[in-house]
Amino acid sequence: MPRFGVAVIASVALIGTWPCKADQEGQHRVAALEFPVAERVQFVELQMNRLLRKPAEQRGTVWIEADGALVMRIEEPLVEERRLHRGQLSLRRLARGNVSTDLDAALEEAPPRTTTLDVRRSTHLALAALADLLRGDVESLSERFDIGAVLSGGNDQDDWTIELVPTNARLRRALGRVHLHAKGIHLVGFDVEHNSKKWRRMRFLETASNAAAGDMP
Amino acid sequence: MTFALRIALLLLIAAVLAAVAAWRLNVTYDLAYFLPEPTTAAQRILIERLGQGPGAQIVYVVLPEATAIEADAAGQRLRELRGVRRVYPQVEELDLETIPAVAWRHRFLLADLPEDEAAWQEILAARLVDAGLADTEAALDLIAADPLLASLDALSSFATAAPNYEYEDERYLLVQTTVPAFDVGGQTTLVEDLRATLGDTGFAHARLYGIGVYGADLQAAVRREATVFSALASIALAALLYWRFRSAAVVVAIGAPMLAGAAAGLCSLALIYNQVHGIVLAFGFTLLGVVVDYPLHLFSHRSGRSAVWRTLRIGVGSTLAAYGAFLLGGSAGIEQLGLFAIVGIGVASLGTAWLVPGLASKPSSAPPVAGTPLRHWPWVAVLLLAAPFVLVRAPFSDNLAALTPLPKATLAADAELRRRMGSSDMAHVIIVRGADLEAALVGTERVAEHLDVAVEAADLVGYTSIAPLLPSQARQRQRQQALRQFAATGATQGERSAFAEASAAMAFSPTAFRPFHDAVLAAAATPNWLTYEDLAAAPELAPLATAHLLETGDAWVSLVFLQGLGTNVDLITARIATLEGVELVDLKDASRALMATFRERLLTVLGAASMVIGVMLLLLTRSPRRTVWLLGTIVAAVAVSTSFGAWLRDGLSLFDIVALALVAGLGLDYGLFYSRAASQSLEAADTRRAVFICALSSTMVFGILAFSTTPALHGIGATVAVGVAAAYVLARLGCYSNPAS
Repeated sequence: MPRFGVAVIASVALIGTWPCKADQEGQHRVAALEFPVAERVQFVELQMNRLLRKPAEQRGTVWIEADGALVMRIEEPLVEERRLHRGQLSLRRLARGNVSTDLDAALEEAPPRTTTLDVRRSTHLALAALADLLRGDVESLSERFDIGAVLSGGNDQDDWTIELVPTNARLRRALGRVHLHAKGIHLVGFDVEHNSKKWRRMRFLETASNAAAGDMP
Repeated sequence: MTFALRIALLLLIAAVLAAVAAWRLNVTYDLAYFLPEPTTAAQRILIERLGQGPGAQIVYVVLPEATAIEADAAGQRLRELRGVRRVYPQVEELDLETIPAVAWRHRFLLADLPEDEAAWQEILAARLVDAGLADTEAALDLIAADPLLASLDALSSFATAAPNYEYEDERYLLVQTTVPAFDVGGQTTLVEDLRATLGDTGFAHARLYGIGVYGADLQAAVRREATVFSALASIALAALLYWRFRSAAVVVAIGAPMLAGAAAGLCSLALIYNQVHGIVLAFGFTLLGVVVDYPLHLFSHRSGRSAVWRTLRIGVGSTLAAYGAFLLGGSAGIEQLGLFAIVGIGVASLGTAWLVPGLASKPSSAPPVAGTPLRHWPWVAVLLLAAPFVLVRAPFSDNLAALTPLPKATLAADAELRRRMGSSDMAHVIIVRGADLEAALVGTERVAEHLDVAVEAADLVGYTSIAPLLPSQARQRQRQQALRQFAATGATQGERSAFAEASAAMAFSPTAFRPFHDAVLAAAATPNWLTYEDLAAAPELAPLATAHLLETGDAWVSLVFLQGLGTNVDLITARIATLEGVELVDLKDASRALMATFRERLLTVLGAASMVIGVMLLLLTRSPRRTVWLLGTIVAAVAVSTSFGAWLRDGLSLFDIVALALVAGLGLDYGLFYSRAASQSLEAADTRRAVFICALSSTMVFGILAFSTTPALHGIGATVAVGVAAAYVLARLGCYSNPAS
């Protein structure tokens, strides 16, 4: 390849990595997001895959503990708690037939399955991103994702959407699109879309109380 | 034949015997070799399963000052090593490739089919949530082919993963290996690979724990210490002998019979036993130290060697009688030790007789110097002083852990690590006995039903049994019948199918579970029963099968390992009390009872041997007074050593009992020589010098061994050094100096 051609390709590649104004705007907005860390926030999630004929719904609660752990507790269609802390993911699922009303106590007694958080997997990466967002850890989020341009929403008070692009090339191909939704400084939810038949959409109900599952973008 | 030629020939014979031994010898470090024949089912389990439980193939890795990412990277590298099956924590994969073929093939026999639509909905809801966390197409394929995840659930019940993988700034990895714990060679290679790989990933200071690691490290440590201490002891002994005789030839001549005896002992072990315990070798060589005294006595005497030889023969005969008792000791390790000592001492004494000229000559015609007058008060006084120490505190430890050659610090660190990781201590096990395998499996299923209730009531954290992986034939038939009915109702797609209703309610596509549907129809048409042999033939599953099931001649035993039992022993015992052939065993109690029985047996045998030796001495010395003095001196020396061990080393182990036998043998030699009537005053002086050198060399050699960091070797060294010193002092004080000398 002629030396000139190499220089052009290199220049184009460099331009692609240069932070533009839009990227900086995205970074700024993400950094300004607030999340009620001390509270438990309800969420609803829709997922779709090739085994389903229509999106399936999961509901639960998510919060950040005092030690920085992310706890995502699914309460419907069954009870499972995912606890992400210091790079490890612990899963506790209530046994079949357990009808305890005190979920904290019941889950505490359930034996945990502990696995390493593998951010090379898209589902784990999404969990890690959620933890970063809820903790307000933009630095960690920036290591996992390039924070893209603001896709919609003109000013800070509007509903706005931003694209997150995995820094890992393989995941970039596998994940397709990752969109983060917010209203002003409140996080509303985010979407992970592998393709048209495989996606997940999560919404936090307290910050988007009118955003019922059916109203999702 | 010249003296030099005799020495050379004896050394040549030793070399040939050693070569044969090296060719045939297989060394093991299985502690079960030092345990006796079990008398109860619990003891049998303890011995046969020792080191073979579910945790036997686990290596715990402690990574100091590690982050999650660094620990994950190290774990990733360890997974690539040969001999590593899994490294926890690991990312859970819903992938068919992670399931052994036999478990997948028989998956419909491993779980009950849900009975109604609600139960199916619960199952399918779980799969929905699983799909949300599994992002590969393979995971969806697996769910489509087996929505029950029957084979995965059966396998996950054996998962060795611990609840905690971090503590303060330490991170832990749990490595499940494919190398059996008893394969010390394989474990050594694996441990070396693990350490090298951890070093490459920046964890050169990582610490490894686990039965396999201990076996490998122990082999290296025993070999290293045996080499170092043997070399030190040999150099010290050679220097002492050279100082005494000023002749290198005599030093070699004194060592040659011992080398020949050791080689012959090794050869006999190699030819008779398939495997010889490492401690037998380390300990056997120390026991053989007594034979150095034989040529030493003879070379120390410038005259009257034939008389010295006659006295030595009494000592040799008594020692052989004492070590002969080990052949009835009741454990393979003690028997091996006895055989090694008997052959070694026999060959060494014959070698001595052949090497030293003039032993066959008639006794000197000179009248003996006046018979050595003996004092009884020293041994009586020492015995009276030592007795309270022995009687006040039980001198023997029945703790099985005392037998392990592992340093106490390692055992403490192991226990602390398990506590931090939340691993079970495996101190309790439920034994399910059945006349045949089927009966044992049916019994295990009943126990499982009771334990499930206990887990739900939080009386127990969990348990592992073979039931999920190998259902009884009766249960397999029930499940096959249910499968037929499921197929008859249209499986996943019939109009009356509860599955179809639940699937539709859960938003699954009507064709999502087509692979499951097809597999159900095929399995319902052709029953394919799962057998123990199927599991045993699968490399992934065989260790699980053999860890949980064993055939004991006339019966089958199924083991159920408990986790997090805590103080609820009585509760669990009550829960299973109504089940026939089922017993909750406290392995610590079983081991204590086993050791107590073993110790009693060994002491009884040694006591009987002592009586035989007493009668022998009476017949050979023809002097009741001398015999009483000899036995009293030996008993007092043994009492001193016993009280020393009981008070300063937390009790004596089985190895110490064997060491006490050596003290008795050496003490007898000293007593015999001090108490014998020499024919000349010169000979009497030579005798005193010879006994002094013998005692000094033994105290020195065993004193060096007492510095070993291996508990068993340290114990033997300390016991013998103290005992020998006491025996010498008692023998010396117990006889008046001959005025003629």
